[in-house]
Amino acid sequence: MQIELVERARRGDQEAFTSLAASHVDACYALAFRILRDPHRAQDATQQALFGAWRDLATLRDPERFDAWLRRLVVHACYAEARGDRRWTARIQAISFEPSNTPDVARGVAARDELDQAFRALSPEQRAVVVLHHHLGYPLTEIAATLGIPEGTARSRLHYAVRQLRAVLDADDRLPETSKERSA
Amino acid sequence: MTTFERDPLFDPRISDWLERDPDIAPGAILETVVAALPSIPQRRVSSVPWRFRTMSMPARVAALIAVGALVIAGALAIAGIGGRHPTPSPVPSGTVGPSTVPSAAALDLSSTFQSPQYGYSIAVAPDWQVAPATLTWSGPDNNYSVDAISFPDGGGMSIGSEALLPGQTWEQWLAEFQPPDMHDNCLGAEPSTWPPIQIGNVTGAWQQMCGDHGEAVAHVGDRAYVFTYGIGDGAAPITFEQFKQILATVQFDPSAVTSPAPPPALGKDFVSGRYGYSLSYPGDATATPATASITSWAPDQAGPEVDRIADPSARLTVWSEPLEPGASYEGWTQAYCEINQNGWTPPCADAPANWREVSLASGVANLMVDGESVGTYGHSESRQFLATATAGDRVYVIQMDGDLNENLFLEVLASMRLDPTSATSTARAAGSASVPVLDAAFTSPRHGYSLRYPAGWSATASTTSWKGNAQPDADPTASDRIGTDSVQLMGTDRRLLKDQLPDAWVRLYCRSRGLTDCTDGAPPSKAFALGGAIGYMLVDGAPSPDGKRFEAVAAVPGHAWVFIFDGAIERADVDRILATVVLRPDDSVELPALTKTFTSPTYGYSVRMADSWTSSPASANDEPTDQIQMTGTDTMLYVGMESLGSRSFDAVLLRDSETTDVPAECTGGDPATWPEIQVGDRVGRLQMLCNAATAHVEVDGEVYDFGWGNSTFDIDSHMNLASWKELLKTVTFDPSKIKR
Repeated sequence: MQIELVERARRGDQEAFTSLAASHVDACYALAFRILRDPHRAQDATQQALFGAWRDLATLRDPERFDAWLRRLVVHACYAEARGDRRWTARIQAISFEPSNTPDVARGVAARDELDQAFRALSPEQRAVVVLHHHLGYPLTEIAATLGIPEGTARSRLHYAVRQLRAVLDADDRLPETSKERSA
Repeated sequence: MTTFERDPLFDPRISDWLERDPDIAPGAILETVVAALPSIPQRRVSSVPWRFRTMSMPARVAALIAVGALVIAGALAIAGIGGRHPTPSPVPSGTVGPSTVPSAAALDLSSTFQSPQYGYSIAVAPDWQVAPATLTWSGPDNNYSVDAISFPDGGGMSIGSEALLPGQTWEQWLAEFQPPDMHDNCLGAEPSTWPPIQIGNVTGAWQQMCGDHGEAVAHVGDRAYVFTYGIGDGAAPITFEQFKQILATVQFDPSAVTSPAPPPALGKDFVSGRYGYSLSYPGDATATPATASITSWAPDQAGPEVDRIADPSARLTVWSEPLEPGASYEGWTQAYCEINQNGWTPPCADAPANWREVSLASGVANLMVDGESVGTYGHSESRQFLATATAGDRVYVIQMDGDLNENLFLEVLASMRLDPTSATSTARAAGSASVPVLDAAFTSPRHGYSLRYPAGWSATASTTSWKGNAQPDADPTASDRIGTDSVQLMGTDRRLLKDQLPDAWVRLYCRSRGLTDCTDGAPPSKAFALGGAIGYMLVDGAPSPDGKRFEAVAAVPGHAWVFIFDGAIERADVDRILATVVLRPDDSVELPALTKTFTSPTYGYSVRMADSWTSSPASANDEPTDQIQMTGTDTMLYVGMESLGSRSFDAVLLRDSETTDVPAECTGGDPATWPEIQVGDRVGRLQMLCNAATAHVEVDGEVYDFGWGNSTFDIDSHMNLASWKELLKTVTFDPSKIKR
């Protein structure tokens, strides 16, 4: 069914492409949001990826690879989106939260906030690898194929990204002991 | 036995964190994209796919229809080019192709393409893209085995060639090229009826196919040449007349044909006592015998269970195992292909009659994967070869991966001798049955599966859904529990993330659980058939406080299941129970915790709902239904009510079946055929409306309609029907609260 839609769309059938876009827009947005951490930027990146898909669909040699090809367009649209605004880091807003009576909940919120900030500090390329690996479960070979990079590069990006994120998570895991020391 | 070591590049905390992000796109995105399409020009098709010479018939026709579809639109758009019938008909001798054509515009054929492999040259325009073949055409083929010429405004041509077999006539080659059972409406007719066409100074034959696609074939000396043509769909395509101009420039020089570089000499011998065979291999490669016998038929190709011969660019692996009593080699191979498909194309997935035999030093093997590109894009892809063979009671698997000289694999096979009598490895599965007869059936009310179990065991259905990647047996309410004091079976399921591949989920789950066999690029080992899907025994008899632990998973597009056995049980019994599993993803209930209640201010009923859901009561003026939006999905529950009055309930149903608000094929048909559905403590009737449904139920003279509505046709975005049915069971009626 999808292959037929791809074939029709690459021949200029807008209705077919609309069906394709409708069935993929959520996944594109979900991927873009996780990389960009910003709903508006994710929306822009998703739109750009879908525009690019329509424009370049005829260059897709194998219609069966449409899904992977579109993911690659989304990731590259995210790169462009992230680089298009040098004020990227200035847009980060600290998430305030009321102190909670349930320490675990408060700690969870704090950890997510710190993880969010640590993630935003990664390069767009690192974020893409983390999302493909940790969210969609892709192995490095598939990540490399999707992004058009050598597997070693994917591994390197993932290694350094995970190391930075772990630093935040591990610090959070040590929080109770730190609190005890302070209270003592 | 499974050991525990973590993938250093995976952290489940990050995975959990990412899973909290939104999965639904704002509607404005699609609206914007659709609105902009008319103003965005598309780039044009650049090449014509090659035909698959020995592709199975359905696949071949499908491929050709696809090619035809690519070119038909362009054909119809070109005024004056007639005769492009779906069913080609012979044309008078001396003229070929479409019967009426315009005079061919002059082409700038000032450049020459010299085929580096096939011994011919052809004139081309300077701005045409030309991609020489990187593989040699031999049997089942792919696009990289032809020289491909792409026309700038869509369409193109491709050229392949092969030597006739010793003693083979041209007619025999043609008969093999297009066997009688392949003459149909899309391919051409009997080759002897193909009209002549001029290719350089050689007269060949033209086969007209669907649309404006066709093939010019010729033989020069002992070689066959095939020139495929497709017009493409551009505004100014290369017409058939121009294609003939191009063909006329061909100059054949069969003496210039170059074979791929000869494979390295097989200077060393390897004898496998474990798996019972010997072979020769290149002297610069290194042989590493297996140090353990096979435990999975999806073994790690770099692991200890396979004999491995490798150099930096390629890797050959071999293993074998005894066939189980009564099992056939063909059935084993088909199952192996299914388990390990990874996108493989025929013949691995083809019928045994279509398998390609290749010679061994003793006997034959079947070439199941012939140079399939794997992993990456472009001409530099790593390729894969796979053959299976049988001797005695044993089946052999020979696989080669890497940047390969394609003849090397055949050379190695030709050196291979199978000696099953010397093999020492045993069958994979072993164990003894200690579980009684499976004489009871359990159908999970929530998790979309059923299985059989001993009647003496107790079964307790879960009451909640399994959340995310958390350990599935951590929450006793999130999995069905079947067993005794000494052994427990836990079964649960979850929906996959949108766009998540089943294999990817298995790897992700495997990593999140800290198990082995989750390394990058390698499919999880221990594969087996589970409920019609591919299952993986991720934990296979690991010691547990109560005995042994087994953890099996299965995933299909959109859905995954986990079955955990813990206690006094052996693998053989686990296999017996799992063999009875039937997976029914549509029956999976995916309701979040229903922690609050919506009470209708108008219609005298209440229903449970999740914290995150939003409700909107009916408004007398604007909206006659109560509405509950299931956040995170595109599904809404809407509820309306009307008094029965003097009508019968059946009359109301009949009226609803004749609604003109939905397409005729979506009304649900005759109400007498509508199944019963539980709504609270009442039984109503279920009207299916394509991507929606309504439960009609009568309560004390009132007729309630509970609707399952979805704003898209994307089933992955719905709260599924089973969940909606489960939700309706929470309804309570109190007609005394109705406000009229």
